[in-house]
Amino acid sequence: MNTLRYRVDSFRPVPAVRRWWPLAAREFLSLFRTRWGLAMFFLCSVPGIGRLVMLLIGFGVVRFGQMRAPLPRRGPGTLPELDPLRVEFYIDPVLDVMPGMIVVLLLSSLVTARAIARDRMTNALELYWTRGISPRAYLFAKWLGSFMLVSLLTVAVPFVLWLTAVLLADDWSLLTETAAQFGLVLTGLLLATAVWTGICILISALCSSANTAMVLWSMLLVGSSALGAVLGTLLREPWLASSISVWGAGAVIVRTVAGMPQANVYVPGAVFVLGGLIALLLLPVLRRLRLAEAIA
Amino acid sequence: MISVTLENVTIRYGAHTAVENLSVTFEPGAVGLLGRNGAGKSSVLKALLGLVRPVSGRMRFSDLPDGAAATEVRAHVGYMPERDAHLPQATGFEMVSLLGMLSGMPRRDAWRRTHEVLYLVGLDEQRYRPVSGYSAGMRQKVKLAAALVHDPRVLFLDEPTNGLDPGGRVEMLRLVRQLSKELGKSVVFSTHILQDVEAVCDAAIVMEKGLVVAKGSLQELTGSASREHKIAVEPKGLDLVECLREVAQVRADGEGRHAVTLRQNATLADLFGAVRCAGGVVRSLVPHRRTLEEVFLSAVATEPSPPETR
Repeated sequence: MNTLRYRVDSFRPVPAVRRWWPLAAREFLSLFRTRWGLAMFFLCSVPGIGRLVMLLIGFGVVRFGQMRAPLPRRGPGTLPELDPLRVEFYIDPVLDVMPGMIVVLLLSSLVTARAIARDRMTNALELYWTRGISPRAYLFAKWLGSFMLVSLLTVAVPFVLWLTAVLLADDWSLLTETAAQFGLVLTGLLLATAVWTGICILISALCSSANTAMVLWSMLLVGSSALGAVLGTLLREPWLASSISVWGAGAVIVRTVAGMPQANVYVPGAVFVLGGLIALLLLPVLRRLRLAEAIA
Repeated sequence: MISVTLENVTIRYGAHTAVENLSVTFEPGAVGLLGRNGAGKSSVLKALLGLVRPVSGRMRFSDLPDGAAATEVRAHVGYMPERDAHLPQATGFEMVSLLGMLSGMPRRDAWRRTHEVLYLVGLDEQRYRPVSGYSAGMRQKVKLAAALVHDPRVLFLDEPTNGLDPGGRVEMLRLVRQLSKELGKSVVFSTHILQDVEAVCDAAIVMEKGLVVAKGSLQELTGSASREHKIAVEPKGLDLVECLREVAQVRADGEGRHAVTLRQNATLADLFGAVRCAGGVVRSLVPHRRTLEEVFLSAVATEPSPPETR
């Protein structure tokens, strides 16, 4: 033990409402702390990188010898998800089950689902709550950190791709034609990501082990999609597929916010499923994250 | 240094009363909080940290205004939990600095201060290693560093020597003593290990079934039997029971000595006089001091008056 250097400290305390930020920042960076985490993030970025390459080829920035891949022009035969001049090109990879759901499932399972359950396993809650942070602020900070991380791929990547296309385009027509709608798309993506990570963090707060939380979240995301598809087919009600599925309901909300055409969807059903799920999880979570639990 | 006062505090969990009408003051310095499992020690700590709200009574920190918010109270309190607790994936430096920031420290202050407290507890060489790889002793030290990082005036240490080897335990006790004596911290030391309290604390509070059954300075507690003495007299065959009948109760210890307990209002002069009157001489007289263990056992053996609901 040493006594040197210890001195009575004085500092101007940070207001209580701002104390959750270091926790959120730590949660956001948690995946980048290990080589394994970096590798996983790179893996999850591959679809985005693929789209970027498509974009570069499409705009003629990258050329393979004499082969050219001219920028597709709108026409009856052009698929909108392959047309960089339409917003579908940027958001369909995010909202489709493959690769979008898989990417979000991987990231959220690795970070969000483990966030609180792992703190509970290591008794970190006792350390947090005997500080100047409340359980609700803690829950918010953990969610915010995870939300920022997942948003990197669900929101930031489409935005960067769109911005690249705008800058590579011959004129500003892409910007003027798609800016308003793309703003709505980003808003919808932010909302859907917030809901997905919110449900995941609530599951994490309910579970006593990180593995249980990961399994439950994966089962909910994949299982609800499968259940929706099966019920929709059996009952011949196609809208059930997107309403029961946690993933599909999020996608419905994004497209609705963006004003994109959708077939066989029931928007109130999607909102009810997601809102109901959050309300259902939130009540037991607030009971479970009580201050009194801090000291055994 | 500040003192912490609880006045008529009652803590209930549903129908269960954990602490009943507790009035006690944790004076500046190091105070041992003793009691068996379920005695109410943790409930007292929870209440002082603002984690549970007493159903009645009030608590006061001498330097804080009445009715201070729980977060404000926690800013002045450092808590070292009994259980092994650490932040997943964090190094010692990251854990202590993050907890400092959550206590309201600006990042730059938290970083500087973290280096200082980790040096103080002897973890400066290991500060960038993950806490999950620390030994039990190092984990205790990093918890103590976390309790100290925001420079609290009161420290609540819950079983700080748990899981430490003898060397680590001595080191930890020396640090706690140093915090109390040299650095002016008020320390509430909750433990089952009575020797630790004797080594570190100036006073002790013994709890049993939610009530305080003994409290006071260690001197008062262990010296409360100062009316007891070990006495040896000449000649050895002198009937002490008979000759001291008026001034003391006498019990032979079988080694030529007797344990005498002075009666109320009797003094040592009376004792010497009685021996002299019987024709004897007092050869030695040693005051009998109880160990804290004896104090504890006798205190918890005294059945406290039962609370209203249990």
